[in-house]
Amino acid sequence: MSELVVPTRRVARFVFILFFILVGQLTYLQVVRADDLKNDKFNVRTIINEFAKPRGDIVTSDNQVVAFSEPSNDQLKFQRVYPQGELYGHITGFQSILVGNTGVESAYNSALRGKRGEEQNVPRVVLSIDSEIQTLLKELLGTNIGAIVVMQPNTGSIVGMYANPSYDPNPIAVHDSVDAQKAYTALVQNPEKPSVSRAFSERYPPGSTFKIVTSAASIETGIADAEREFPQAFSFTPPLTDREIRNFGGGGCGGTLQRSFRESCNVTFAKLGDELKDNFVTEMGKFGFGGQLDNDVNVGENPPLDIDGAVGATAPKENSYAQDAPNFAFAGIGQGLVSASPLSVSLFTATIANQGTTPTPHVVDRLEDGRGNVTKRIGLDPWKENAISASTASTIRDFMVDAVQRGTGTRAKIPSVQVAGKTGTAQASCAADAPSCPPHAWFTSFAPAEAPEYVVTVFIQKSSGNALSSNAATGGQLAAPIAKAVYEKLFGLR
Amino acid sequence: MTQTEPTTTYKIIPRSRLRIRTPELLLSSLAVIITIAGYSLTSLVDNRFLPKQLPSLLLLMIILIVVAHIAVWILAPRADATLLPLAVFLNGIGFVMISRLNRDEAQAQALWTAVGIFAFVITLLVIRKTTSLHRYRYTFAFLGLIAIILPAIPGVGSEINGARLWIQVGSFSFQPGEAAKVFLTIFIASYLTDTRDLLASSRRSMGKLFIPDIKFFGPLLVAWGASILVMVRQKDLGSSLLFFAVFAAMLYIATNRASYLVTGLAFFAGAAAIAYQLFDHVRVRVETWVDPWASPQDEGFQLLQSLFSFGTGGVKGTGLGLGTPNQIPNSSTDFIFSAIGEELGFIGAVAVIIALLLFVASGYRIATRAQRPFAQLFAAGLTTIIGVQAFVILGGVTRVIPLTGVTLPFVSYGGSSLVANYVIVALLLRISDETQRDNLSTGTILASSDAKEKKRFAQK
Repeated sequence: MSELVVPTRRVARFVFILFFILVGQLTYLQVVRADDLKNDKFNVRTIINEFAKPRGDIVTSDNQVVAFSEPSNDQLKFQRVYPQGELYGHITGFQSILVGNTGVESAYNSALRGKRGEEQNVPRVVLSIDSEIQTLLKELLGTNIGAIVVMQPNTGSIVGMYANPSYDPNPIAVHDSVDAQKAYTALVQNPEKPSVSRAFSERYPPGSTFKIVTSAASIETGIADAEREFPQAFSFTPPLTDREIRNFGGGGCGGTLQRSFRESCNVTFAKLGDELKDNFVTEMGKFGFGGQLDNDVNVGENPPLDIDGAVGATAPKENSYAQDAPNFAFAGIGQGLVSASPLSVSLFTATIANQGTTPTPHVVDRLEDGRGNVTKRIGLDPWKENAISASTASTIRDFMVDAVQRGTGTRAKIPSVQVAGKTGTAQASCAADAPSCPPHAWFTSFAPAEAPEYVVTVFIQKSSGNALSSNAATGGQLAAPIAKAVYEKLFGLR
Repeated sequence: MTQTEPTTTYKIIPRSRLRIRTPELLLSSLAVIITIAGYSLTSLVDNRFLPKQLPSLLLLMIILIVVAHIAVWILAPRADATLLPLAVFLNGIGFVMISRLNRDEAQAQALWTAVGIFAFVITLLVIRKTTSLHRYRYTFAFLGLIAIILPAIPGVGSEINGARLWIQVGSFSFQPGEAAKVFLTIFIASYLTDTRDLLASSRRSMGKLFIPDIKFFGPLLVAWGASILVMVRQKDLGSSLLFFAVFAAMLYIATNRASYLVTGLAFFAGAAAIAYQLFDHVRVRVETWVDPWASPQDEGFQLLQSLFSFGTGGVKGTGLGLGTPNQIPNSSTDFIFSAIGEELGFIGAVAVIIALLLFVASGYRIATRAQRPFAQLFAAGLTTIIGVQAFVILGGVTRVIPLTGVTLPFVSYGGSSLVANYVIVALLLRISDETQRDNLSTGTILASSDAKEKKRFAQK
C-alpha cells in the first residue's frame, strides 16, 4: 500500500466532517429555527406568495363588489382594488404589504385566499351590508362627524355601518412601498382620525340613551317599576359633592318611571343611579359595560364583531360607590365614567328588541366558493343569551315606543311602522383650548316595535350645521330625523 | 486465453471484459427520471401542462447519457460506475431548479451540459494514460497561470458582479479560472510527485516546527502565491480559498507532514487578516456573516434571503415551483442550493449533500486505490476541488463560513464550471480505469474490487 493512502484518507475524513457540519447547520436552519426564519419580519416570501394568488372578491349582500383583485405587472401579481373607496373603508380594511391586512381583509384572510392555478374557482366573501343602505348612511351623515349603525337584532347581521370621516383604502394597498408608506403616514397622522371607525373603535358618553340601561337595572334589581312615582324636581345632588345634576334645558320633571323615560328626566335617572349603588355596575355589566380593569378604567369585553377593532364599553369601578358616589348618579344619565361606541349602544338596544338576548354582531353574511355554493354561513350564537329578563326588555320596549310617540323622539315617528327609540344629548369632554364643545347627539332605536327587524343607532359627534348652538344639537332634533330616514328606506317608504 | 499486457489501445482488451456497464446505466437512468419528473413538475405548477420542450429535453438527455456511457464503456471500461450517474443527478437537479428560476438560463445550461459531455468524451479519448499529464506538467502550469491572469488583462477580461473572472468571446463569457483549477492541480500533483521525498525528508527544524527546504518548496510557493494574489485582485475570494485548501491538502498528502498543514493554516490566517484590512469587500463579507440582520436591506440582504429560503422550506419544502427563491439575487448560480432548500426542503437539500458526499467518497476511493503516486495525488487533488468547492459555497449560503461566490459543482448555472467539472469526472474515471487495468496486469486484485472480476481472473 502506497504511503500516500493514509494522509489521503485523513483528508477525505476531514472533507466528510465538513459535509456533516453542513447537514448539522441545515438541521438548525430548516428544522430547529425554521419557524423563526419563516416569520422573520424581513422575510417577504409569505406576502409575495399571498399576492401571487388570485384573491376573492368582497361583495355586499346585494352583490356590489367592494373589493377585488386585478392582475398587475409587478412582482406581486395581483393588485387589490376598492371600487367604492371610503364608503367601505372601515369594513373591508385593506390588503397591504407594508402594514399587513385590516378589516375583512384580515379577519377573513384565509377565506379570501385563492389557490394558485385555480383562477376559475376563487372564493368570495359576502357582506351582510346592503349597498343602498350603506350609501344612504353616508348621504345622511353628510359632513357631520359621527356614525350610523343598522343591525338586525335577532341575528346580529350589520346591514349598514358608516362612520364619517372614513378613508379610501386604495392608496395604502398600492404595491409601491414608498407611495403606500406616504399614504399610510398621512392617514394615521390625520388629526381627524379617519382611519379609526367612530362606529365601533371609539367610545363616547352615551348620554340619555343610557337611560335604557339604567331603567333595565332598576327594574331587574326591583328598586323601581314602570309605575314608581318620582317627585317633580329641578335637580339632584348626589352625595359626596355639591355639584347639582340638572334637567336638560333647566326645567323641572318627574312622575312615573315611564314618564321620566319619555321626557328623558335627568333628575329621576341620576337618583336611580345613586340608589342602585354598587349593583348598578353589576347590572350594566350585563350589557357589556365594564368587567375588567384596564389602566384604572373598568372596561367591558370588546363586542365580538367579526372584524378587529371593536372596543368595549366602560363603567364605574366595581364596589366604588362608597368613594365615588357622584359617578353613579352621573352614570344614571350616561355621563361620567360611562362610555360606549355606537356599536355597543346598538347592542344594548338590540338586547331590548331581542327580548333580553344580545346578538353577536357581524359584517360578513357568508362565504362562497367560486361556483357560488355557500361554504359557510356566519350565523353566530348570541353574545349574551338572556342578558336580562324578557319581561324587563318588554317594559323598556314600551318606554321606547312611548318616547317616540309622545316624548323626546317624536321626530323619528313614521306613520305605518311603530318605532321604539331613545334620544341622547351627551356632554362631551372637550379639549382644554376649545372655546366650547357641542354635545353629542344620539338616537338609538328599533322597529317595528312589536316584531323588531332593525336596530338603528345614530351618533353625531359634531354637527356641521349649528355646531355651536347646543339647543339644535340634541338627539331628538338632530339624530332622530336621520333614523327616521333610514327606516323609511328600510321599509320601502321612500 | 492468455492475459494480454495492459495497453493504451482498447481493441486488444478481450471481448469478455467489455461488459455493458449495467449499474452505471441504471443509475444514470434514475438520474434522468428524477430530472424529467422535476422538470415536468415545475411546468405543471405554473400552467397545468407538460412543458412543450419535454420531448426534446428527454431526447437530449438520453443522447448525452448514451454517448457518455458508450464512451466510458469503450474508453475506460473498468472505471468506477458511480461518478458519472452522480454527476448527472446533480446536474439534473441543478437544471430543474434553473429552469424554474430562469427559462433562458435553463436553455443555456442544457447547451453547456452537452458541451460538458463532449469535453468529457474528448478527455477520455485524448488522455489514455495519466503519465502523459505528468510529462507535460510545466506546460499545464503555464496554461494555468495564463488562464488565471487572462481576465485581469484590460480589454480581454470583463467584470461581472464586481469580480473580474470572465473573458468575453463574442456573446459568450467564459471563466478561464475553472480551467486553471484543473491545470494547476495537474502541475501541483506532478511537482509534488517528483519532490515529495525531498520535501518530506528535509530536516531543518526550528524547535519542534519543521521547516522545509526553500529550494524545493520555493517554486511551488511562488506559483501558489501568484495565483492567490491575482485572484484576490480579481476579488474572487472563493477561488483563492479553494486553491489554498486544495494546495494544502495535496501538500499534506504528498509529505504526510502535519507541519505543512499548520504552516498552511498560519499562511491562510495571515492572508485572511491582510485581506480583511486591505479590501472592503472582504470586510463586508465577514461582517454580514457575523450579523446579517445588521443590514437586512443592503449588505446582509443576500445572505438573509438565503437563510429565509431554508427556513421557509422547512423539512418538506414548499414544493417545486411553489416557493419564492427568486427573492435571492443570483439564485441560479451562487445561491442555487438555497433555492433547493426552499422548494425541496431539508430532505432535498440533504439529498444533494449526500450525492456530493458519495461523489467525493468515490473520488477519494479512486485516489487511495491508485498504484502510482502521481495518479493518487492527482485524484485526491481533483476530488478535493469538488469537495472543498462544494463546502465553500454550501457553507457560505448556510452561514457556516463567510460567503464567497463559487459555483456548486454540477448544480449551479454556469458553463465553464460545468465543463471543467465534467473534465474532472473524466480524469477520475481515467485514473480509476487505469488502476483496475494495472491490477489485472500485475495480478493484484484489490480486496474490495468486483467479485466477478476476481473470479474470472482466478479462472485464467
